[in-house]
Amino acid sequence: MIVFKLYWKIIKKNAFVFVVYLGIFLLVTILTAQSLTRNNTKYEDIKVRVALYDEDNTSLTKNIKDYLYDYVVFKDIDRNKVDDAFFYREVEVIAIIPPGFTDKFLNNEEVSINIKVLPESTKAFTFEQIINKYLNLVRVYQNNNLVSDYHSEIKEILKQEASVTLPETTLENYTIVHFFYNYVAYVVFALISTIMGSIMVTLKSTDIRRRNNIGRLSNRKLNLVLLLCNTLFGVGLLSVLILLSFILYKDSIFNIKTLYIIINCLIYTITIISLTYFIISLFESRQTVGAIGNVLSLGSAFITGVFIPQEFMNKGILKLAQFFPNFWYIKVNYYIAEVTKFNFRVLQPAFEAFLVQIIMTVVFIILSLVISKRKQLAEL
Amino acid sequence: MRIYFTRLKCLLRDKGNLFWAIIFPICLGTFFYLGFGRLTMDSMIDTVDAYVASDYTLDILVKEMQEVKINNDKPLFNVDVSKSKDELEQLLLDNKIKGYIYIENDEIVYRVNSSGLEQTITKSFLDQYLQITTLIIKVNTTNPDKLLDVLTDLGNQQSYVKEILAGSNPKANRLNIYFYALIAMACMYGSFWGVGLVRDIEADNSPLAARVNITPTHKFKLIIMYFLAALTLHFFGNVVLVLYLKYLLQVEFSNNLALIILTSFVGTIGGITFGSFIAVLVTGSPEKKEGIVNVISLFLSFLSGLMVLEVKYFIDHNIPILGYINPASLLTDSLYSLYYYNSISRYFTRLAILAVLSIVFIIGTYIKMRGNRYDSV
Repeated sequence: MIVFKLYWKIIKKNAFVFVVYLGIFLLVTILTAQSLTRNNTKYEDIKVRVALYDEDNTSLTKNIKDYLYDYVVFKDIDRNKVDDAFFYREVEVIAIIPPGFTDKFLNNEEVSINIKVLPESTKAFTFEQIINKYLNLVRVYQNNNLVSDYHSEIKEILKQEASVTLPETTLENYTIVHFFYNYVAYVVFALISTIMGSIMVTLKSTDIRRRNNIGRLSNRKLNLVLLLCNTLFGVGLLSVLILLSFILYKDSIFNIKTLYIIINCLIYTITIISLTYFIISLFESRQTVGAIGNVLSLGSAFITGVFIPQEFMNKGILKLAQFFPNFWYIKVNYYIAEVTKFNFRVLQPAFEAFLVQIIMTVVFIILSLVISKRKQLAEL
Repeated sequence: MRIYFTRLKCLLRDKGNLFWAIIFPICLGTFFYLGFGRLTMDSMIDTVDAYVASDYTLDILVKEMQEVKINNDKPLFNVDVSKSKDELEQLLLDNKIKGYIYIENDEIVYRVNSSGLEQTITKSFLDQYLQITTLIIKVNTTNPDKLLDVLTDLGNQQSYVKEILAGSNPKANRLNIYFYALIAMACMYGSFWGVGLVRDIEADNSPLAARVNITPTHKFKLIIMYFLAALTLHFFGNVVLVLYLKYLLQVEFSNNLALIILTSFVGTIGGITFGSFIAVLVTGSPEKKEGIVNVISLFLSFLSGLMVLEVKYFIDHNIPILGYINPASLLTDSLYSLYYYNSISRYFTRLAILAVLSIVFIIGTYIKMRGNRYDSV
């Protein structure tokens, strides 16, 4: 109980810095959540995002735009800023209809819309197909004088589409919640390693440790109580984040998936706590612990797929990433977000990843107890 | 001059700060490289696997699908007509294939398990096939005499788009922003030296500073010498980082190395002065100051895209003012201007704002420190 009280006393003393940390990370989380985009739940063609600038302004170009409305997403972006937007792929195609386009087109001269795209990308290909389809149809109509109002006639023809069907169970949208929780992996790691690091290091100064050693509390018991305190503290932090997700995504979060994701989170948090505990038992100085915590939290976030989806990543790197608990956490998140049925057989990969994390936890705890004991003996 | 060298020696012994200044960014850069060094997030066009149910097929459609090409040597579809509808349905449910096509009662049905680019390409082809068929039937009923001309015209498909390369570089990879933000972060971590500078000069901060304070050396001279020592060391670290990223990890930068180095030079000044400014503003132990400087630097780097790159774009477009007062954003943005736009004017604007900010920090720091005299500490 004494240890327990002491722990909270240290927290209270450093409360200001901790609150700043927590506040900034919450802000970071909210900002990230805002910059992610939401998707829809039924089958939809993937539409190319286009910024179109019409320098010709004729009835033909108006018709082109009218046609494109159904097939692309128009982005209204200031011409000066459009290159920025293209870099970040806010728009994937910049299209400029040059002056005199219509005249040349109607005279059957060679003419083209200027587009800026990533060469040979799928989006470039798709956009070129969309434009060419319409303009080729217009040409066929014009050349053969089929009807006077070619535009509405073509639109009529374009209504013919292949029908698309989906198996009933698929496509429940959970992407945004899932991304949020992927990101939590980083926040939890960074917060716990810095805050817990600075609390624990306080107890490690030689004088205090010597004093503790002559006390009647055994080293093991002391460590276990501290571990318990840290767990409580970590779970407290986690619940703040979970609460935040409930506020942000109240319409899509109430779902059986969330339950599994929260279980995953909880296991992950405990694993991170034991990992941090392990780091603390290895190193003495506040700065080293803080430094290692920072490198590991940010570094592992990059190689385990927290910021960049695992499917894009190099297979060799992912092998290395398996040594970090984040890898397993993220893997379960992806899996849970994708599965549609929940029974033991389907969830088996998730349970396996849980197990890996739990084993990691146990290993870290044992290692830190052993190291702590050794250091204590070395002192004598 | 002696002060400068002594200080340099002092700083070299500060293992913690050396770590933050030099080792940490290089570690992180290596992690970045491992994570996505050779990656682009854009999907490139490639042949799409298409499955048509063997028991519900349409020969002419399959033939058309086999004939479309991406370019001269690459077909758009790799058509597989060997499996029955039941087999394909099972594959679809098991997520082994993304979709398949079957024709029932003259209707083309495309069955998929999700939305996606491949599905969009396939569907768009099927739509086009249907639409052309409709057009031909229509012409055949209303203007049968023109049918032949129409068919010739249809066969003679033309392209009406031309890719332009002017202005910015369309092949620029946005993931490089991570590396630029990393350089910005490394510069911002110069702020630790700034904290150290205040710690060792302000008498109420440490016993060392109290001792320094009773020497006859002018405080301004001390500040400048300490600052120069920190600048030398941190700038050296940053140049190592830039060279490491550019030559060892082969991160894409603008070819103008001198300007990149200049960026990190101005950035280092910005970082150190920022740190000392925060250190004189916040009261408390040096550890507390370091903690706060650390988290603020990290936060500013976050705003400049260090962790999630969309955040930078989001800020630039929704709260642009933040991009102009955040030293980390200014740094990331100037490197980005060099890389993407090849634009010197935008680059220098960013750097000039940063220089002004640094001057503000210096003046702020000096004003706060200038008047302080201690009777007793």
